[in-house]
Amino acid sequence: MMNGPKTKKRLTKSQLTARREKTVAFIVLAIAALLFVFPLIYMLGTSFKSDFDLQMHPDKIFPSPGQWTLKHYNGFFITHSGELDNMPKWMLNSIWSTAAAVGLTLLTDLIVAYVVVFLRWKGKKVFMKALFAWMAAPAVIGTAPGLMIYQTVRNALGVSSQAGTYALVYFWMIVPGITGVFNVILMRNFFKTIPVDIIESAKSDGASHFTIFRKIVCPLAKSTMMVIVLFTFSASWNNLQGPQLLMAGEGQYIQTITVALAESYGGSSAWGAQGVSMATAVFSMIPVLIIFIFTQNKMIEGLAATGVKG
Amino acid sequence: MKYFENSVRDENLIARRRQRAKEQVSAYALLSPFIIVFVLFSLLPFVMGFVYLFMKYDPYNLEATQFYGLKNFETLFNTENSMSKEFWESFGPVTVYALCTFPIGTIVAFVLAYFVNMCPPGYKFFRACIYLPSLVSISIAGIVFCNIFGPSGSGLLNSWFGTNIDWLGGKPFQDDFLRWVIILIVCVWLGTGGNFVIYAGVLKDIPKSLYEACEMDGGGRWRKILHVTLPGMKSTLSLTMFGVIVGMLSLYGQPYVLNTIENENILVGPMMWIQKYLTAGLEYAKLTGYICAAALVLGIISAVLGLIQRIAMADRNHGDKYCAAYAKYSDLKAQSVKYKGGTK
Repeated sequence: MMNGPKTKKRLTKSQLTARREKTVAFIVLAIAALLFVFPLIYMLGTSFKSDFDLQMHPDKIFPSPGQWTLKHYNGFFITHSGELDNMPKWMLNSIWSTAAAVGLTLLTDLIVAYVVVFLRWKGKKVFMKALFAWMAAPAVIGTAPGLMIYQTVRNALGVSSQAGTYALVYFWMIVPGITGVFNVILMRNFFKTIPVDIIESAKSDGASHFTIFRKIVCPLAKSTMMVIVLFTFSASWNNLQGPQLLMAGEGQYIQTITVALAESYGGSSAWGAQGVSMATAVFSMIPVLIIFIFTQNKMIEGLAATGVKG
Repeated sequence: MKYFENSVRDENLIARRRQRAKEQVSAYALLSPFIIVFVLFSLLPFVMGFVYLFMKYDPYNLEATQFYGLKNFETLFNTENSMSKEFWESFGPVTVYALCTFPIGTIVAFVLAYFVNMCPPGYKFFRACIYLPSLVSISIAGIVFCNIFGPSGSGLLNSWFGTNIDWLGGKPFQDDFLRWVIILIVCVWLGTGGNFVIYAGVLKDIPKSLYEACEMDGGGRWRKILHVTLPGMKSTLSLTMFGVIVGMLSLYGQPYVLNTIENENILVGPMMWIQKYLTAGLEYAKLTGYICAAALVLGIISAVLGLIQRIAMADRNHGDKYCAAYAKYSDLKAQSVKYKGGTK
């Protein structure tokens, strides 16, 4: 804003270059942003099209006048003979499991990072080395045995009812994810930037570790927490492969919205359900969007500050 | 007197030691949930992967489980076996795809980050827009892009241009060029955001003085990018590229959702192969050991690729010398200014 064009002073050469650069950047970014958001706008528009419009005007992004409808969203609000439709069930499955995953991950990361950075104990170096080594280990090796262990546990417990299966599948979906090493290291890197003097002075004032954790460290770590929330939220909400493995062969009631979208409406299955599939997709985007709007600025700062040096 | 002092010191020492011990115990107590979950759900499956390799493991009939030696590998490397053949063939499309996405994805993210770093008006909004798709799930991307590239009756592009192109049909290595282009587009659409934000963050951290120094030496825009920007981003570039490589080898979701009915069973990546046979039910559960062997091969390949790429990036460090030289130069300059000007 300093070199704004309002002053009629003659601009120096470098100022002119800077202005030209900014114009070019603006144009390029505007086009890129439009391209990147366009599919989402198209998704939103199509979800409001009536069936007639879907058939007659596939070339339009938004419905023609008079053809707007909320019909495709009906599945979320109308109950069939007292029972919820599948869509709200999928949505609830996704919401609670994602919330649990995010909460547990955040708690674990905070505690582990605190213990690693601010407590003195034997074996710390070995522990950190193991974590870093684990980052390079290809996780794919564990997929098949993981599933086998799941099935063994399931057989051993004798789970056969719907409720039991549901509980076990969701347990298996949520719990293994909370030990994501990347997030722990992200948090630990941030904690390392907190000056030790603050902690020491708090200690000499008689503060316990719990108080320090709650009153000093957690408030400071807000932006890193935002990054982790956003990462975990989107990863857990969008997780397709893992849940698909666990849910293979189970009923639709158990699916999360992401799995359901891929299996019921994805790719080849989208025939004849364009409107409904788009509406479901829009609906499943809403929580992610909300989180994004709240975290995006902090997230970008946090990424720049901590995520980079890994 | 002396005795008294000593006992105080001893008491202090004991108290401190006791506190140390307490700290140690509480550290282990706090870590234990993490360690238990990690060992049970991450480490144990990983280790079991190496055990199953050498076994014929049947989860439904544990008595039939037996030591199998290297037979699983023999089957895997025997291309006359139809499953093994499928596995090795699935590397083909994914390799071609990797060679394309790798540079394109990195360049797109870098160019956008470069422009965002100029901070034109509204750059925060654009930044959010470009990052947004990386939060979209693969299922949604599949639905939207299948509609955009759908057949002429419902597809957006086909009806815009009045064409009838079968974008998503086609078998691997025959007429599936368009499908790969679309998968590439979707991957760039989904994957650019994260790298883009990271690059933008690093670009911001590169000191302005380096650019100025380069300018004084008569370096133009390209010189600046080549000798200041890229060296400054070296470690980040290599880090994100590692992620891209591993991500490409485990390509699963995109081809799964971007599909047509006729193509449903075509495998385009080793990850799809693993997933397919793991979810295929009873019949294939007997092949767990064999699938583990395949997973190990895939894991080793991705680890080796990552290693090669890290070494390659680490060796090309002549850029660092420039960076260091410029840093030294600008440091000296700053010091001399300080001496002359003093504090304000």
